[in-house]
Amino acid sequence: MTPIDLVVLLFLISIVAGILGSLIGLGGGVVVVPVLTLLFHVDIRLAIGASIVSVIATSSGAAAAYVRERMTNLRAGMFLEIATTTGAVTGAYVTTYLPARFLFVLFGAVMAYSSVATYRKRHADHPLAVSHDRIANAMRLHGSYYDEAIHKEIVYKVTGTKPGLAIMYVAGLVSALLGIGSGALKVPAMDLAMHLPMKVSTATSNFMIGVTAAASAGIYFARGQIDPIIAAPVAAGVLGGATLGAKALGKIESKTIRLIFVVVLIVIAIEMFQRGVF
Amino acid sequence: MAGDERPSTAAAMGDGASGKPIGPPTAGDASDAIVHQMEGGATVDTSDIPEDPYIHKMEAVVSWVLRIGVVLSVAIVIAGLGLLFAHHPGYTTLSHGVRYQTLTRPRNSHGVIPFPHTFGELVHSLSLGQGRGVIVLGLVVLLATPVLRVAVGVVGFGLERDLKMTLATSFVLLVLLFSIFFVGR
Repeated sequence: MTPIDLVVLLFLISIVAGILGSLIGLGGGVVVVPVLTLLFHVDIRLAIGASIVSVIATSSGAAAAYVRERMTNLRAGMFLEIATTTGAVTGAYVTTYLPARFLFVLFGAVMAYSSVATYRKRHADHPLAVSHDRIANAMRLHGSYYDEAIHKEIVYKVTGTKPGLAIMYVAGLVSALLGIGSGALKVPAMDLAMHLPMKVSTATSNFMIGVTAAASAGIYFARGQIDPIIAAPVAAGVLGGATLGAKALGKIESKTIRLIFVVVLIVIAIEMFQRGVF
Repeated sequence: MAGDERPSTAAAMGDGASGKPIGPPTAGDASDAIVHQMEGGATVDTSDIPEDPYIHKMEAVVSWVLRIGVVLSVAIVIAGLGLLFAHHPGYTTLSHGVRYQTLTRPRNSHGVIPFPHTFGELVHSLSLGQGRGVIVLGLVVLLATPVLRVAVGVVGFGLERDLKMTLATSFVLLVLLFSIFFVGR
């Protein structure tokens, strides 16, 4: 294969990664990393660098649309970034002390658990009417969005900001340590712990993952992990795919989004166990 | 900032419309009493959710910043790819050309990282008119977009005298800049 073949193939695969990532609030690393390492036999360090580029591209591409459509909870997203960026900085410092294999297995177990928890919650779609969460009330994190699938304005309250912040901190930590998987933790933090509606959770996760990834992008860039010939088609393809995916989210039912999310979590769990054990 | 005496928490703006405090109705709530809306049932009581006139303005600005960053970076990246292929005809032949593997190694045969990975190298590569330098410039624009978006949040909440959110977003911006420029160096 010549470089042009690589660029065209990666571009097409990245469109799919962008669509998937924008729908379920992940960065597309779940597609990009295995494609690069298993299919193209690219060094894992360069694959993770491309994954970081993919995360930022998904985030900016999808969030541009979600924020305008008021699907994103801007205040909640910007508030929770306190925890994700702090986690990312901590992660950069502890990375030499923690064995990566152990982290992969641990993270795989967390993914397996949240896939089960999300699956069990697949029918529950009632927004909170009353919240006694002091932080959520003080910061006014509550919100509303228009659900195109059921043609209704959904007003919701936010609760559980403390467990939410704790999971967000871990999400930033994991993102810096493993270079992947921050959205996979952010969505359950908002959907399961904080009771945001599923679509708001994925849209707000999309909004936040770019900032978490940007926190570690400087290190990856300086270490020479961002290879232009790989990152260019990934960035362009993912941006295109995320723009397409963002047009679809509103029209899809929350239950369907949850089920797609569950399947992707299981795939991530398997990938993580594989990298931790072998 | 002008020093007029408006309440620092903009919460008061929204409350003026609804006339109700947004705080919890009972003090000392250790457990979260969660009331679920019934399926397809009555609407949620919205009287204590303040309407945010400025959050919609901010949504428009944030959305524009993201869109400009995305369009600009993808245009630069594609121009760089075009330049790269124009300079290296061997990259574009479908057979008997250069194998892509020679371009996807972390280090070349001399043990050197074969693409720009510092700002100095980026400037040097751009001055030579290299395609890979132009691609990296586009990627830098992409990576900078979320940072700019956080900065927009700081300015936006600051202008609206939303003290708590201004502090929150300022903290995020400081941590972000710290981690980009100091961590791992």
